[in-house]
Amino acid sequence: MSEKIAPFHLAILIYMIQSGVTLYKLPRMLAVNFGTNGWIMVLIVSFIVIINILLISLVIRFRIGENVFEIMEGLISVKVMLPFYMLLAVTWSLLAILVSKDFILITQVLSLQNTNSSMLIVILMVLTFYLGMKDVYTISKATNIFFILTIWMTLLMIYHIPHTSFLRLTPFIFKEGKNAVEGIIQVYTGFLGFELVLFLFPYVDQSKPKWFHSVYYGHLITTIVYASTCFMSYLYFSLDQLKITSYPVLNLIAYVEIELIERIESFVFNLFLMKILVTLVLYIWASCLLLERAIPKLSRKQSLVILIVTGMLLSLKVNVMADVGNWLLIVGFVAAGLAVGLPIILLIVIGIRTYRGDHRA
Amino acid sequence: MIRRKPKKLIKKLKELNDQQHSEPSLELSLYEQVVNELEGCSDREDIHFPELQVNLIYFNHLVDKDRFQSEILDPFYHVTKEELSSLLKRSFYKPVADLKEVIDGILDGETAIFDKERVFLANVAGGEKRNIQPSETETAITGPHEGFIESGETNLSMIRRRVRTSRLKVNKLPVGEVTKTNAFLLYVKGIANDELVTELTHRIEKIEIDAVYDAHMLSQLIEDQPHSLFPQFITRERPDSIAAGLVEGKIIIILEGSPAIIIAPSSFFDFFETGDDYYQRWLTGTATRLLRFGAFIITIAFTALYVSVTTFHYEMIPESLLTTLAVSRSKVPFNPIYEAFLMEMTIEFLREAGARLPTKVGQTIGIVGGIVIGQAAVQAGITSNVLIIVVAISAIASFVVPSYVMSASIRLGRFGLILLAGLLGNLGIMIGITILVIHLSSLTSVGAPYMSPLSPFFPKDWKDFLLRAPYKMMKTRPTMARSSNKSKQRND
Repeated sequence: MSEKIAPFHLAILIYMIQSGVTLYKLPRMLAVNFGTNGWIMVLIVSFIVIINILLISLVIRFRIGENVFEIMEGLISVKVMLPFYMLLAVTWSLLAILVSKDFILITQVLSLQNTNSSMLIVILMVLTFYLGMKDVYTISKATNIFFILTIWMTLLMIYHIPHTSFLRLTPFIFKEGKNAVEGIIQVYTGFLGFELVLFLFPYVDQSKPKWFHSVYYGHLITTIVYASTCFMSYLYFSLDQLKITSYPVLNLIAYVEIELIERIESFVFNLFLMKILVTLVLYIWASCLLLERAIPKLSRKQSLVILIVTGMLLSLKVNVMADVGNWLLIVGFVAAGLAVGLPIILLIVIGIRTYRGDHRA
Repeated sequence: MIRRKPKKLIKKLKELNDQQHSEPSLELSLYEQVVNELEGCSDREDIHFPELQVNLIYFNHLVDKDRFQSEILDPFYHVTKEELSSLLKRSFYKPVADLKEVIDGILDGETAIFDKERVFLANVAGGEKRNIQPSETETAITGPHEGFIESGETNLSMIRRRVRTSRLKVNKLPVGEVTKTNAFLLYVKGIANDELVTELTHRIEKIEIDAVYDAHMLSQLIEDQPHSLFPQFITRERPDSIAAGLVEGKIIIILEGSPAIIIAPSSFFDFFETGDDYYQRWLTGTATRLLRFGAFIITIAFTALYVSVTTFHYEMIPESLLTTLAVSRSKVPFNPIYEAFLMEMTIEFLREAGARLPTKVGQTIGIVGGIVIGQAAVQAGITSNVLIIVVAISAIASFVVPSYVMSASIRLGRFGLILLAGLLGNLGIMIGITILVIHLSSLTSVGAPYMSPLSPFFPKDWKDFLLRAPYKMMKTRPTMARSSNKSKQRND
């Protein structure tokens, strides 16, 4: 029985792919790059992302073929596309591995300092393999539960309300910022993940005509979570504090104290493992589709192993937090370029094929 | 010992078996063939009426003795040779010609009547069986108390008396190459999904095994993923629960000789429901249900959390509690993970010993366990007071889960979580929970998602999930039953 992902679940899936450890750094990124009231930039970048999603929706609406591959291969032969598929697969798997390294390194700031980070990454990869071996419908089902187990964390912000002050926002907008362009790219990469809908749509239940709205809803949840957290950080910390704190959201959570547990962040942060895992698995899953299209003989097990090992080998030397940050910036920039470029290329291909008289799916 | 035979061998044996039954030797009469077949069965009864030239073969302990006397023996004693033909024309005497049919009939408790070349079967099946009593594993505080017994027909009658509709259909399916145990597949036509009925029938027919003794064994033979830690079909021992399942559009499987009855498809959350939830006030029912889910979280994660906190995350303990814990732990020479394993194992020993021993001796185990665990272990400095409390709460919480099979699975899962917590602290717990979530999400029960209605999210079914909503709100059947008739209450 091949079940389809319901639009509601697609929204959750999109949110879970998009959101990740970037949230922990986002207020600092905003403070450094945009200065005062940088949280507004989250909304602006979110709007740019919506335009990007709109492009994707056009691809899906006017598609000629069942999936992205059929759209492309209708114009360009598979042999020509092969290097492109491979490159895309490697880029995305590298991005996934870097995200996991970032998560593990932040985990080691809090605990397990004496444990070898490579061992923790290998464990994370085993989890990725375990979930990646399941079909996308099962991945979506597991994601729903991960969503329920993690979304409540946003409510922890209520605890901070009595300790916030609007005076900290200042009446200035985007003053004392350093590099707005880099900042926009960084925030944009924080929203990445929505582009995977290009590969997900054949698995979605499209019986309802407005199913694609769920992608916007998913993005909306991410925007609300990002914007509200950043807004709260700006209300809670001063601008200078935000600039010098590595992970302001971690400090924000650390402030929460309940009767039975102190230093709740060492528990809450680990919950992010589930969010990271969804991001990892979906990027690797899309990479698997690309790799299997390039080399059809590969089984899912083989392609998963190849991509995970390739990603780990490519990032073998990247073990320090600063290095991971730099690599993430570069690979994230490439991935952001792909998120924008891919739908544009596909639209051009569809345009040419329509002009040639190819029929729609 | 039960062991699976290669399919080909089983097929061949079956063919040979059928051949033996259906192609009798030409020289021997059917009576002689039956006698030959049952040779060595000293519990067989063989009665001969010389003046009528009639023979009866049956098993005394499989027939209802009163009915046998009044409906078979008496008429044959009083009938004359001339009247015999008209007597045997009564529909009570079923004519048969096949040896296999005769043997199966006798083994089912029927009496075989041999009149020259003609053979008849008369059904006076009975025999000893347990009286209907309250179920011991599924006790009820409110609601009906009667529980199923080992007799399939009695269980069927209890269900039929509750679901009085001609749409309640029963398929009889023999299981077990040697035991030929009867399984009854029940469903309400028009409510249950026909595809599910066909699929389950097919799965039962496909079973190739010597014997099936219990419904729990049968359920493992027809599950979607038999290697999973978690049971994918719930079993119930109370007729009201089964009737509720039938009306919800689910399919019921009764196995002769087992008081447990399978409900299919089942979700993970069905294992946390009891009949009492529905008979109590809805708020009380809901609160009890939430309590059970709370108990599930505690039983699976509480000891692991203790190990994680005392090994890696002392910073999580509030200052006021830190001193108590430090003093309690200071005398213990072991690492928290060993300490926790030691205590958890002791609890498991006690539980298992208590379950196997007779009630009177079982009490001794409780006292010994209480003294050993409660006082001696702490005084000897083997374990800390706090761990005793943690382990005890986890153990109690595990018994709050109504299904014993599920509770056992959860307890086993707990050991994995303790190990991960001891190795990687909170991250280990998260890894364990993640594995658990992935595994549970990938499970299906006859194709229906195991984690429904949580994932996939079926909002309509939430009225009977964490909550037990008022009856007026519960108007639809569960989505996982895939019933064609979704409504179970009028919409006004």
